Amino acid sequence: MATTHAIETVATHHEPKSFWRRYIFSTDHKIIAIQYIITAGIMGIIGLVMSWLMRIPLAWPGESVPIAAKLFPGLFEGGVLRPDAYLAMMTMHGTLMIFFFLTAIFLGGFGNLLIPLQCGARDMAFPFVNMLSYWVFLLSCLIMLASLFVTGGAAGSGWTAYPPLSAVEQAAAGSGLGQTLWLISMAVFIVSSVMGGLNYITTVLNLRTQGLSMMRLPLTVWALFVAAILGLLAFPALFAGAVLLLLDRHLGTSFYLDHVVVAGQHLAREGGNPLLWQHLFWFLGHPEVYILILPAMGIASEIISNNARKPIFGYRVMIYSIIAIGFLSFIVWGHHMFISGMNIWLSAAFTLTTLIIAVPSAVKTFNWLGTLWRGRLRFTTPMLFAIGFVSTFVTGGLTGIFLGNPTIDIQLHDTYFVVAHFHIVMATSSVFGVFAGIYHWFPKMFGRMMHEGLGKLHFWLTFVGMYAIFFPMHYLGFFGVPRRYYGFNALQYLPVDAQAIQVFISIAAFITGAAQFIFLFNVVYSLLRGKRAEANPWQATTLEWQAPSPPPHGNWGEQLPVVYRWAYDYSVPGASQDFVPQTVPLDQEPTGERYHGYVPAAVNIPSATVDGGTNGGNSPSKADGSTNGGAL
Amino acid sequence: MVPRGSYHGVLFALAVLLLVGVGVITIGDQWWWLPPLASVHGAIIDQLFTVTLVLTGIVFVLVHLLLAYFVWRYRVRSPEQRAYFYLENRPLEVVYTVIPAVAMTGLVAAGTQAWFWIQGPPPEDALPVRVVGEQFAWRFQYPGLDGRLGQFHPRYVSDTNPFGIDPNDPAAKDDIVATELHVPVNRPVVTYLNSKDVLHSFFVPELRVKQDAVPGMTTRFWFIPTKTGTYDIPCAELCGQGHYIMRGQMVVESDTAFESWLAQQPTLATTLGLSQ
Amino acid sequence: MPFVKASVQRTWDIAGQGKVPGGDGSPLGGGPLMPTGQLFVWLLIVGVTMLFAALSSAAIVRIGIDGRTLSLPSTVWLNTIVLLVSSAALGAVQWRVRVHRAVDALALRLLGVAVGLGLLFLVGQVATWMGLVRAGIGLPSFPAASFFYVLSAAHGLHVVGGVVALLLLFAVRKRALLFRHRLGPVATYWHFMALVWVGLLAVLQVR
Repeated sequence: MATTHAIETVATHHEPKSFWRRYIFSTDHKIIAIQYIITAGIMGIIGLVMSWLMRIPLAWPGESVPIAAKLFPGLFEGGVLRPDAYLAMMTMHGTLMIFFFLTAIFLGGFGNLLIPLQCGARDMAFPFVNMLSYWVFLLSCLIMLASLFVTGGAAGSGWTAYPPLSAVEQAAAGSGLGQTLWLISMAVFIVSSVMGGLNYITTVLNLRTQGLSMMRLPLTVWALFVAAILGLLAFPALFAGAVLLLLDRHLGTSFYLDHVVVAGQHLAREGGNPLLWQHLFWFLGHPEVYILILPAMGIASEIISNNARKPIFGYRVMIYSIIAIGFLSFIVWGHHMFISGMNIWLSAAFTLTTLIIAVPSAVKTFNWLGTLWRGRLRFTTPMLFAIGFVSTFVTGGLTGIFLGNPTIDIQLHDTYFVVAHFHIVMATSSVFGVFAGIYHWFPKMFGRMMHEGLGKLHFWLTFVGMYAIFFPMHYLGFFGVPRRYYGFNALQYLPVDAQAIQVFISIAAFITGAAQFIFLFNVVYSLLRGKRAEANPWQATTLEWQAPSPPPHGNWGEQLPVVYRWAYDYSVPGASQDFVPQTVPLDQEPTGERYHGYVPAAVNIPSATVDGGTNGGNSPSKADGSTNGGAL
Repeated sequence: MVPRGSYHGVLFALAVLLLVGVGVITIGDQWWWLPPLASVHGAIIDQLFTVTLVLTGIVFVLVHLLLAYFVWRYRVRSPEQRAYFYLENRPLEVVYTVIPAVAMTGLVAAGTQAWFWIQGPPPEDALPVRVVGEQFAWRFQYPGLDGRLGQFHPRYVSDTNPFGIDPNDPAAKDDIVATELHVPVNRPVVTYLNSKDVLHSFFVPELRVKQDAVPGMTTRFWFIPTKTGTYDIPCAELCGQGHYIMRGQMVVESDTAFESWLAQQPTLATTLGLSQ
Repeated sequence: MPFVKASVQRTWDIAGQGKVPGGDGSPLGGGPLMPTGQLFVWLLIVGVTMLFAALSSAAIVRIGIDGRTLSLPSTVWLNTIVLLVSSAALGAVQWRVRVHRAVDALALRLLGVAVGLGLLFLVGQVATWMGLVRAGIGLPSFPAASFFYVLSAAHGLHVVGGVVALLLLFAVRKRALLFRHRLGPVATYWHFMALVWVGLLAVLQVR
């Protein structure tokens, strides 16, 4: 819509000129998105290396590994990873991956990149708050990383930081300054994510361009929108929990602590209950995992539709399931606490809600299959990651049904089965969402295509590798191998195969982890040498592809785009191409949009009912764009 | 334009079929399975586990077969090929909303029913045992002839009273303390769990027993062991640096063997020197 | 950020014209939901509510199990009145500006009263804490006391934010349009702070 000329004049007028204002202290949502993605990526790599260190003693207990010991002398003793260092690595791996990698890259990275672009906005509603959100996030990253270098090492109580282990300094090596910094870092992180969340929600509600109703938004925006709402509602609970835990640790209160005897010393606290923390933590913790899976679902939906050249199957039902999942995610937290001593009636109630949440997830899966059915499937790298997402999401989702059942959970709770379950959902599905998104939107971010061959190599090693790591872990769960164990010596009920499986998993983890460096190389290579990207290399319909690659400051030149149709006009019968961008007026191309009172005759709608139609807001004559002039 | 690389669809289909094959063979054949069962309620857990495994297995195989078929069948093969424009199918969507909903309801019903029984009140004649977790060991307290357990509180813990039993509680005097858990076979046992310091979890894999020990609370789990033998009691809740070596021993034995073992254990009165 | 202002302005104009093409008739059909600053404050209120809800539910459970309650010193009630009057004063500013469509001397005086009472409230809260400490009731004493300190401190910090926002309103008193534009969101937040305080007092009375 916008002419190049307009873009240039506007861009030269208002774009900040100095390097610092442009790339470092930028308020441009695209730059902030890239800053988030790079920072989160670095945290992800650190988390990956930590998982490698953990996998060494699990597969080869007691064996000296001089190379690793030389690289990380503080963690090893006699060439062997120390048990307290193992716990620190385990805690930091979980914390970094969940919060500082996945949450940050989805909401901070893709939220920042896609929400304004796909809503047809020039920037976030509050660009300055947006910039502040990133810098506060960076501060929290630095505090978290600093905790690795303090006396006693980083926190060692797991990413869930259950008190009293996390509350009593003498309880573990990492429960000293490391745990304090962990809590402070999390509090700062929460401040950052609330600032971000306010921005994302406001932008979606208020800055959508003309014609872009909520029911025309791409599913990516819907998913990010609901994820941002989940964050806004859930994170404050962890903030409250963290403040109370800090007080218990340093100011002698007893919110979580009762009288305990640690290392022979009596700690005279009274009446506190550790379950209170678990409730506060999981009130955040469970919505949190949906904060990580919903955006991946949105990205997969978008990419599958684009590469199948078909409208997403059951668009409205997809939105309803996103909302249903978002809502239900707030009333399932107790399924993490079935064997914690929580009231058994409460457990039963949480069982019900937990298994109900499987229904919208199943619906989404079948809708992805429905989108593939009779499509024209292009296997670009993002598409491979998107269908890989569907496969792993199904696998990981199904094992959740075991754990959501309190009776089965008695046996499986805190075993490797749980580790396998959430790593297939989080570490595989969510991460596939991240990769799919980066391969797909890289040309929009940087104006260059990523290398397809390297991308496909990366996909195959990662797809096969992730299953090789996490599928066998279920068997360890069957055996009853407890999680968060540094070693398994003398557990007589374990069959000999258990150790062989551990070795297999470790080898697979090293190879799969190494494959991620192919991706990093690809990013650097493509930034420098990649093929120049046109504005719309994937022949996509959504708004961001109607802006140049990369979009200029302000995204749209002088005039905002006007939207005439929904985001999924692929292969509409009678259209001149197999995609129609959202900005093409209805009198130029037919639309497949179903519910807005306008059903093109050329489209044979299988089921007869068509709702709406009363407001008539979508007739072509009204939508020719002439109304927009007066508005400016 | 036919994009190159549509053979990746075929590869993907093959990879997914391989996954399904491995999954079905290993799990269907029970190559690797739960530890051999040794308790009454464990049979219900195993049964529910198997039912859930079959149900989810069917979905797993079905979805992956469809996924494999679709990516193989509908990969781009000619420039003329065009996607079939199709928005949705409400009846179909209703069907695949209702079927999981019904299946889930069934699982919820079966799961919670079993849950209430397992977590419900123990039989009257159950043998009470207190299990106390600490970094990094389990301790066990049996009632004496009065059949009642003396009170526990961490404030009583000292070098001479590592069990933390209230020395002034009349019920405690004849209590028997041990560092190994012995129970008679085929007789209900109810464990009362406490912790001196941090969270622990009482886990006996063969007996399908797991319950957290929470400081400041008493939790309960009852079971009926069905097989004599010696079992590990690993700690299942992260409790610090020695979490991985925190281990107890559980011996399930005949009534007579149990009685004679119990008779050899010291009472609290003797360990605290109260009898004098 | 000229772009952003332009885009906000523009979408408001669209809202003024009624339905945009493609609107599906739902309230979210197109155009902004409400002025952006106002929406921001409502969302902020949602987040802050969740924070206090988490703390309050913890307080109710914990104090309920413990059984001991804290008899609140009289300064707390005095303080409550101060905060409510401050909120009312800001309400009067809103009324004045709405009716007179201008930021006149009276409006600014009322705003000054609101800010002054806000500061007085903060001073009063500190005085309350000092009184409690003198009476031997410290943060770790017992759950009701701990939660009183935690809740009043969390609320106090949010009030500090509100005072800063009110002072920033003073900074734009010469620019009537901007003043009116910002007054609404700031006032919403300030009234909410008074409401939260009353709610927290109620929570502390629950046994």
